[in-house]
Amino acid sequence: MAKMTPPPSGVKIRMYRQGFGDCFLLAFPTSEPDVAWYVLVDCGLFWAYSAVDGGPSQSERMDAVVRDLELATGGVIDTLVVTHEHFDHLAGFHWTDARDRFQQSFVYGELWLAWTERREGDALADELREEAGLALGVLSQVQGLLPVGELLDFSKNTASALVNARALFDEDRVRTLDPGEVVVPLGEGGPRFFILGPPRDRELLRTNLREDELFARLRAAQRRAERDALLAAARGHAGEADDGAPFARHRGIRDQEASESSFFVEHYGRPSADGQPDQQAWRRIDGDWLEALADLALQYDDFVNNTSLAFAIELPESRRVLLFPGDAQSGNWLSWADEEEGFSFLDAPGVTVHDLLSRTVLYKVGHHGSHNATLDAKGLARMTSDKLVALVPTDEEWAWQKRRSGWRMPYLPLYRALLSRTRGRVVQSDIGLPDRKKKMAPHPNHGGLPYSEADWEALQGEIAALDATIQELHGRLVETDLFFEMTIPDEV
Amino acid sequence: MPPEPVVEQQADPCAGALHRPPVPPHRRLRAFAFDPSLAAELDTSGLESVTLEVPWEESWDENERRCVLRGPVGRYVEVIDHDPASRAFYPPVELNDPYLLARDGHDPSESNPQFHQQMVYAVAMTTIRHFENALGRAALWSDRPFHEVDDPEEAFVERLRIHPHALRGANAYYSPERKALLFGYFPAAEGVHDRGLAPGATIFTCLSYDVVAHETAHALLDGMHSRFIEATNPDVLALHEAFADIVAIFQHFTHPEVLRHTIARTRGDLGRQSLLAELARQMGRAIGRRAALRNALDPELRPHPSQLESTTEPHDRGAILVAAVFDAFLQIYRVRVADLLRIATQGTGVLPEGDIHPDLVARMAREAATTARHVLHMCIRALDYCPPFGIDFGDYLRALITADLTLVPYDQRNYRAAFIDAFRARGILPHGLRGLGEDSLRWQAPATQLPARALAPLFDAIELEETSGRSEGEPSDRARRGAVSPLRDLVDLWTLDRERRDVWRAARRLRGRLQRVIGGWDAEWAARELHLLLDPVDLPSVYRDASGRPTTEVHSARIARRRGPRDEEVVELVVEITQRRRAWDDADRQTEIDSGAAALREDDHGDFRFRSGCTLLIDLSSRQVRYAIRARGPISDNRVLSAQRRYRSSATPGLRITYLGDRGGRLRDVEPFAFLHGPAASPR
Repeated sequence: MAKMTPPPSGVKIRMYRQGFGDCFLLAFPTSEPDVAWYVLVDCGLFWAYSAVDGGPSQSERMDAVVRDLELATGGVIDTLVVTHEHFDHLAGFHWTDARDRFQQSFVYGELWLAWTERREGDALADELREEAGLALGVLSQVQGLLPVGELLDFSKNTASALVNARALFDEDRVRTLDPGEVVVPLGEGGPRFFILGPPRDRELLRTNLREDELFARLRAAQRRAERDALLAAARGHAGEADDGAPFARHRGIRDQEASESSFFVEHYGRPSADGQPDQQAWRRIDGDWLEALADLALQYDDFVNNTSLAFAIELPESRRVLLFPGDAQSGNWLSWADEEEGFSFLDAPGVTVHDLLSRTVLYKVGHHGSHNATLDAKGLARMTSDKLVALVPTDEEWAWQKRRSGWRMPYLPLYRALLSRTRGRVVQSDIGLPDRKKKMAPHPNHGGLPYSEADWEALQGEIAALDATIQELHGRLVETDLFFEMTIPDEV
Repeated sequence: MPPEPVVEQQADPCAGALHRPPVPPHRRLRAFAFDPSLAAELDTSGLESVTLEVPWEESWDENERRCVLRGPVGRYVEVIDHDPASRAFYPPVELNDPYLLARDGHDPSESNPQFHQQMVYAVAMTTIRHFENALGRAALWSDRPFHEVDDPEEAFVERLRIHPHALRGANAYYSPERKALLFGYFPAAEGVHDRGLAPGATIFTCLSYDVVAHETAHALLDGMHSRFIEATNPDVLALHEAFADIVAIFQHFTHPEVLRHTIARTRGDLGRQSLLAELARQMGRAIGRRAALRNALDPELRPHPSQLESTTEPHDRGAILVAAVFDAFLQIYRVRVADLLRIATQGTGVLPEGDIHPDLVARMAREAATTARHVLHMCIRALDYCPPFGIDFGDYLRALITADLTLVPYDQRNYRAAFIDAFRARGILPHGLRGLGEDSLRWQAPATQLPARALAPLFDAIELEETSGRSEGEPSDRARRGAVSPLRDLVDLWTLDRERRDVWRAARRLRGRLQRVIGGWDAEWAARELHLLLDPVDLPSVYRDASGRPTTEVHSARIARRRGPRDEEVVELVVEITQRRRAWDDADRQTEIDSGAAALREDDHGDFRFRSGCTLLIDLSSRQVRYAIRARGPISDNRVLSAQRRYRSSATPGLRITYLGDRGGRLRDVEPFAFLHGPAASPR
């Protein structure tokens, strides 16, 4: 592999193919010929990832990426952007080989993080961090019991990985960004970075404004009390003492005793765990209380995705835009894409988000193409450029086959919408362009398909109709086993 | 009925001569009138408990050779006290214990799980009784889906299951899937103790009368309209919530001490804030709200025009309907007490300062209780006059008015005017109606009736079926001779004292017969008057039989039988008929399939279901269709289908759908009737 040279104008962009995770390298030209300004956006791989056909370990995959980064940049990362605290965006700072290489073989400029990672002087950031830490504590105790337990893998080891990433920078080189900021790292005449999210008023927007602060505090205290009680139950199930039980111990009997009680056997049956399907199984409620925990897990996952640093890069001449929303979900998107919220940029009066979207020529699809991380009418529908390309970092087959009930990433209706917006220029990190789209096999656990046969057939027709633009992109898309690369020229 | 207790053969001679009292009609059981918080507040101390009279039931215990009521497991409900979060089962209460019989059950107590079992049982049974009294027939729970059972008989659910301690969290719900009520408990946080709650005290949702009544009402409504779970417009689930709150709120007026206390305190003005208009007081405060969880007199719910438009969440939207009904109640109450006030004030209508006379309090309380009962019964009776699916608030208003007109043709006390007024003030207007007079609101009869012979097989079928008790074959002798009105027997089956399983079986057979009869109806008439398509249609997305005719399901058939204020009896046969069609989120896909451009695979059932159909109310004496409540359009109507699709796309799916797949396990997404919406973190 050779060095990634800067394009004469515009930006060269590389999407790595390590598996289910985000890693993007961008090279901008500088005033000196052949000297690029390198931006690395995330470097991660899902915790429990192992490709359907096996292959290298997670650690090896990340090391391969970092080795290539070193070759490509000559060991210079001018700006590292970590969008949010999920392992599929951070694994490169966790696995030993990759981490060590990051420590030893690079020189760094700045680290950019969202304001939620601000360590001092930001009460809201402190509050959110504490709240999230608490939730994660509860959930990791009962991961095995939860129907959505695998979600927690997004957050495995992320805190320490982020600490490792931060350790690469002096504290004065860590920049935490607020929505509305415009960053011009190469000075006037260079690309402009418009910071969109995460919203600062995430909690405020959702708080019922009718209620005064006292009640808001009470509610927060109440949520914690409820969470603690759930945690106590989880501890009880882990064999420790449960101090959240509603009655004195002697008031109740244990499961084992209940299965010897004629009343409970007759009217409730026995747990079906002993292999004997019970007539009463459809009515038992053994798992219902776990729903509250599952909700917490989802909220937590949602929350972290919503803390994504979302930004748009505008090229100076053509004013073309590259959009990187991280894994922002609707809350984050709406805070800037919904013009009713009155979002504006302090240092770029007159530029609106609507305007940026209409000039977007490259969209890094949020959250691996899940159904809820791309805003429809106020997002994708406004990306009207006829040059639009979408990049989807994912491993569709792994997500469908290896997850308990199958994750649909990309979600087919979104994929089809992307196809129609980009005229077929959708690059998936696992397979590449749409003409290589593979039909998913039935899920090993439940035998279902991620989409109907009819939808699959419809998709085939749509892809065939877009063949001309797909082939055109094939012609300028560099493909290796390790990455896809393309250039976006900055020409009017 | 359980067998009489066996008297030993060599009994004392006295035994034979002893006068044994009959089975008592009621069992008296104590319960919290609202919830435990009332005892802690000076103003309401002493009002916290009530004694409920629930229908007597018991069952024979072979081991103990006596009648027991353990669980309690009765004929309608069964209380099973499993607390999976705490890994505990709490032993069942035995309400036939002589000591408990002598003291009206356990004393109200937060720390005694057997009292909790007693209370959920008593409140659920009381709620069921209100429902049955209003409808004049036995209440049934919703069926298990037929595809889940081996034998159709197993679809019958005899008892609703109640779990008083199922969840550790600030919520409670009715699970339509498991035919069960699940109640949660949770700690109150530090800081709420100044409002009558000890810090760290456990709040039990099963000790809130309102919460228990609300969830039971969900189950009762689901038993009658199982498709009101399908949210095809923003009102469907909101109506479910509103109905459940209405059933809870109007039961407040059945507690005489609380009622008298409130009337004395408000000097008879029930429009002032009081306990009576609030729902789930303790729970609302415990989760850090200023007051009760919901309040029919919430200033936020005062009528304003954009209210409905801007409110979509089912509980919030439902609250608007509850506020409207409560308004109607207040108007009626004010009319009813106007004369009392005039008498008490020598005609001025202005009460003097100070407390009002206890006799006046008692009289006004009686008027309030009567009004509340009438309003509650009106709201319940309206359920027989609803479309089979996709109801909206306007439909419900029409149902209320029609039901009441049928029973009480002369509205001397202006009940209906009060309802129309309250609904209109909140912008609840029936679809496509110009006027809001009684006559335009009332559902219409078909413009032309079916010829008598077209309806005759309907009645013949019923007669064959119900009088003989045979499932197939020859008419019974009785029916052939015509000696006894066979309809009489049919009607009698739907009274309160019948075995519910027999009623269920009869309804099932009746539906089968009706289904065949409908096939013979004049297709042109059915399409015009009922929006029911009986001739072949050229739309592959419609579920059709081999000859291309849309399949028709008789979703429900029942007898509505009630007595008016002058003791006149009204008997109607209610028939709900539906047709269905596969529908896709992608409109182009729909067009492709329906135009034949793309082939429809057998296992492709589309993204959602589109339904059409009607509810018919057939007068059993005149044998005429009295009301036809039909869907907005026939099953072929693409305009109505698009509207449903638009509504669907506006409701964004949760993250869970991506992670778990659409059918990813049994999750809250499919438990639509939580007392609080969403995770407990965001009440309201």
